[in-house]
Amino acid sequence: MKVIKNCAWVVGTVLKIAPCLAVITLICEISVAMFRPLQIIVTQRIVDCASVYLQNGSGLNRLVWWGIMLVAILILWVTLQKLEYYIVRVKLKKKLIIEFSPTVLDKLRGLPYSFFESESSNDTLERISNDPAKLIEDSYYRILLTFFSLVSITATVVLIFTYSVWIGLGILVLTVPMTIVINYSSVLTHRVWEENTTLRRRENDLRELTANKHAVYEMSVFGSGEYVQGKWFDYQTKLYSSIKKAMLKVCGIECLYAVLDITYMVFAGGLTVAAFLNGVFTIGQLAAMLDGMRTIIIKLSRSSGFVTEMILLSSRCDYLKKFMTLDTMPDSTETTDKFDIVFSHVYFTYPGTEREILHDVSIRIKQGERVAFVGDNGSGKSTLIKLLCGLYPVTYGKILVGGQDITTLSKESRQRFISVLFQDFCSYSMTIRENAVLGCLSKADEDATVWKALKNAGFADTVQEYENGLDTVLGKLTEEGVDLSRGQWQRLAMSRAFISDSEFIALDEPTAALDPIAESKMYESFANIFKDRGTIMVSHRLASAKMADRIFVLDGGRIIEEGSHEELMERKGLYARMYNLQSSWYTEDHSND
Amino acid sequence: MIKIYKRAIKDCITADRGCCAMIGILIILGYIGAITPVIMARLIEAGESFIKHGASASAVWHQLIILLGVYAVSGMTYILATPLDKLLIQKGSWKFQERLFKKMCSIPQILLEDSKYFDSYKRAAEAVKNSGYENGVNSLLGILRVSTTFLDSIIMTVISIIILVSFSPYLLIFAVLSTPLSMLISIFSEKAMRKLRRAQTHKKRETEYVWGLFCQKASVKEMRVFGASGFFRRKWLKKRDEMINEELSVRAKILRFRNGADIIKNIFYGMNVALAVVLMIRGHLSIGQFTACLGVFGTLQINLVVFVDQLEYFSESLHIAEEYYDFIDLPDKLDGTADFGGFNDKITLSGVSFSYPNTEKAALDNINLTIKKGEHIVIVGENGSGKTTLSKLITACYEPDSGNITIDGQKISDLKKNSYLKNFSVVSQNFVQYNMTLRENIAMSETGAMYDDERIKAAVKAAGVDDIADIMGGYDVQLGREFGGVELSGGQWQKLAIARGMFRDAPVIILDEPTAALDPFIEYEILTDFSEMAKDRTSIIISHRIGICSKADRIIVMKDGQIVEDGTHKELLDKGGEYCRMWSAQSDWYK
Repeated sequence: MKVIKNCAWVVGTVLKIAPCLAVITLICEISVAMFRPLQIIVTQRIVDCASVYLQNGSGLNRLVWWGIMLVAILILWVTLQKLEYYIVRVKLKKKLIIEFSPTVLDKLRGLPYSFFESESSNDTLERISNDPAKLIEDSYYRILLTFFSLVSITATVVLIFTYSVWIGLGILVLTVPMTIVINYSSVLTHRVWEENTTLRRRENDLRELTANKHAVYEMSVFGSGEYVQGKWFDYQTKLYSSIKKAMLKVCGIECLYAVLDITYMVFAGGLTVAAFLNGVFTIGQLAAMLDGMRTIIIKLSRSSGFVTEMILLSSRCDYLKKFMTLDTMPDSTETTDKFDIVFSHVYFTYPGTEREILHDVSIRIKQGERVAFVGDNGSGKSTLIKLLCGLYPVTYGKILVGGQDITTLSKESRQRFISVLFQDFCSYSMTIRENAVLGCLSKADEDATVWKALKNAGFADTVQEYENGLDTVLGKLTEEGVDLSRGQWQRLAMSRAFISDSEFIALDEPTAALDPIAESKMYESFANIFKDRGTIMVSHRLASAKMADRIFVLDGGRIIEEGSHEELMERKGLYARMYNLQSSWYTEDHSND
Repeated sequence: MIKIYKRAIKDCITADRGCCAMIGILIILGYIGAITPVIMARLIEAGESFIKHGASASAVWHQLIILLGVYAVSGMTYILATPLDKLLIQKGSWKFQERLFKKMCSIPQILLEDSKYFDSYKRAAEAVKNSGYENGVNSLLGILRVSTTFLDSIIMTVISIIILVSFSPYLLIFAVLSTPLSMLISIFSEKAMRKLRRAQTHKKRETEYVWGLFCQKASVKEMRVFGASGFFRRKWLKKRDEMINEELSVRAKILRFRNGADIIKNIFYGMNVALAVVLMIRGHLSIGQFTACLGVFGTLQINLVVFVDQLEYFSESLHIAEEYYDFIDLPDKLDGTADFGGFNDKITLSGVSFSYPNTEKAALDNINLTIKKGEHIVIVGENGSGKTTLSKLITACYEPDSGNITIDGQKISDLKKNSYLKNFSVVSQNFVQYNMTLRENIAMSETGAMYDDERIKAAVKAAGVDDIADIMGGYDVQLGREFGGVELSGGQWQKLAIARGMFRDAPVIILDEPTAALDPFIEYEILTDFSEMAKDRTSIIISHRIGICSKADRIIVMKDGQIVEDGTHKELLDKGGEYCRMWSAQSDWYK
């Protein structure tokens, strides 16, 4: 049922986007499907005419006329088939890419951010990242082919009915169980495939280990290669034996099909010959019947392949169908000129999870203030930044910016409010200029501004060395692309955050994984940029937090301490403990505790 | 190419000889189906002579029985060959993958640093991966499959032509003429298509790249914050338009061209039919033979289509197979011959230099170093100064370009790798998260002791992950969300990696940059715990957190592939060199 529903959805989508093309292809398909029965009829006429002509030399004209008909039909047939292929693969494809793909894109743009982080949508996103227009195109073509096979079989059966009702009825009665049997075997094959999903994924997971050079290194030092291989071998053995079992079953079912097939042939062939010998059938009809009954069998056995395809197709389209019905966010329009931040009793839990990330957080940050959030991994620091960007609505409480709820702020106001250097920043395979100006697209052509941002991020010197300067293409996508080290990419990402005139800059763990010299250089460039605007820094390297006017210490989603570095040190709380721990490594007389 | 072809076919067949033999027999039996038209012709002729000359009806029945027999045999063979084919695919890809698996574990690891080889590995892996679902078959097995299809269509074509000639030699004319002409056109258009595909690959990749940005959380996050999604949308539209216009216009041209070829083919087909009609009127063909002819013409056409369709796939598969065999044929890493008893005295590096493939700069430049048993050493230096490379040379992962590494006076290249490596354990910077049980994640370092619960308990406790085992109730729980197991945090995985390193009963342990992304408490905990754990062993810690240095017996400072300083914390601080500079760079922020 689901299969049919999904197919209907595909056809519906195509009809909506390209009604003309869809109708033309359908008409083509029906005409092509009718040709096989037509050919049988014409052949029968030719044979009968020839038989008469050879016996008494009359009716040559009619014979020639039917001959021409046959040739014409054959040429038309193939031409129509090709036309249809052309329409689907070129015209429809174009239409789908031009009209359907952007709808998917806009859907992606409008979805709430939580969709992209939720575990359950990983699979959907991965599939969407392949061209969905292609899926629709392929699906539609397959549906056409299946439809074709259905029409063709029906038309042939109808033709046989016109020759003899009894043979027709017999055939109809036998084809029903045959259809069931042959489709059952394809359902069975599909089921084995589904049942083995976990096994296949496990086998695949182990195989990926060998493609991971770090794992290869570990395996070589530990000598564990053989163990992993043995495990992989076990999975393969299990997989093979389960497929073998299923295939034996399929063989059995298909033998049943073969028995039905032979019964059908004996029945139809016997009755036809008997009818001919009794003078009921002409010789032309004899030839036509023998041809027709075989056509049905061939089409029927091929239809099993189509059914398998349809099941697969339906499962592939399922995600797209569901995706297209997701709700997008409404546009928000409120504006503001003041950018004081107020968290009032904010509670937050990620959608679809249980753990409370933030618990009753109430803080105020004045416009232009420099603050730092510190705390353990998982204390909720990075979540705070996501909330400040309006990526998630809070579970309870309010976050106000200049008196407005953050989620109601318009896109423009939000950009004036904050720009961010995320921990998992992006490295775009585009030009240096594009990478930088993404932070503020209106400045795309202001070279001076771009250079200034690059300089602030400590990346300008590197760019100057490149022949093409700002227009150097980065990344591995093109052959001429220059690849940067992770540290360099990070500086570029930083210039992206610096380029905008936003009131606040948020930095999410900017110095993790930097070497000591690079880290201290980074702090210097922060000091530069912090002078003229508000900063929100998240870090677990407490040295960087020292620069802030105020430090918030988070523990288990609560703010437990707040104040300047000096105040917090005096308080001798968690912050002081953490700070002493880290700085203890740098004091000369170091002791273990 | 022919060599590769032969090799691929041989490997496919040896993967499962029995299955191949059965499929082969079935295919040969299936050729009986090709004579169907002849029997049809006889049946109609018998019918004709029954009507016209009152011949006996039993001749008609006789032919019908033969016809049904032929149908039954050819139908059965098709039905039985399909599941056998699926079994062969499974077994075949298994065998191919197994060889690749073994190869990957035995090639010199330096090759993996060369992106050229790494890419070629990925392509080789792609070559033996079944492209999902049921008709998906990997390229190597694809070669066998296409070959049988080719053979099939050639045999069917020959049989069909023989049948036609046996009816009337005149029929040969168009049948022979139509085949090569339309085939030529088809091959030609296939080539144009391939050229187009190659030219488009690049544009397509760019378009797909931009599209992909809309689906990844990291880029989506930035788009939302910077309001850049409109920019990316326009970029995508632009690239799409470039791609679509070029692709579709060429594609349309090729399709028109191909349709032209098909029309020619059909005109020949039509002429064939017309000729058959004429021959029948002239009495050269019986009515039965005429109907049979129509069937044969059809068979001829279909086989031609099959042939052309698979041609492109065939040449592509051969190319992919070549990549697979190129990888399989890479030389294995060299192994020494001498057994090594156990580490007793010292490891010495003298004049060791090393550079990575395709780089000019030496990663290590004339390193002289002696590590005595029982020493606790910290190696520090900026990113890219050669710390990790040094550890990989010591663990015999790479061979030095010049210089010697000796252990207790024996050159390590003379030693059997396994017996040498028994003395080492590592916790690498990019440690692996095995999607296996807790037990396996720990005992992976010494699989022989997999079921030694006492030792596992000790290792788990020492690394501070006993809470994981307690919470989850045992060592045999599945880890990693991928297979429905428990997901650990980054810090927990890291501790697990340390437990794995400690579990291996080796006198030397190397800890490479283990705490980069951890928060201060965990970092401190791990490093102090590690020092405690490694008390009785020789330990080498690689880090750029300079804070831990004060605990070590000896500090080695690396810069640009060289050892620039070597001594205790105090000595180096007093010296006021590179170490002192790094130390103050980090500690200044804590003053």
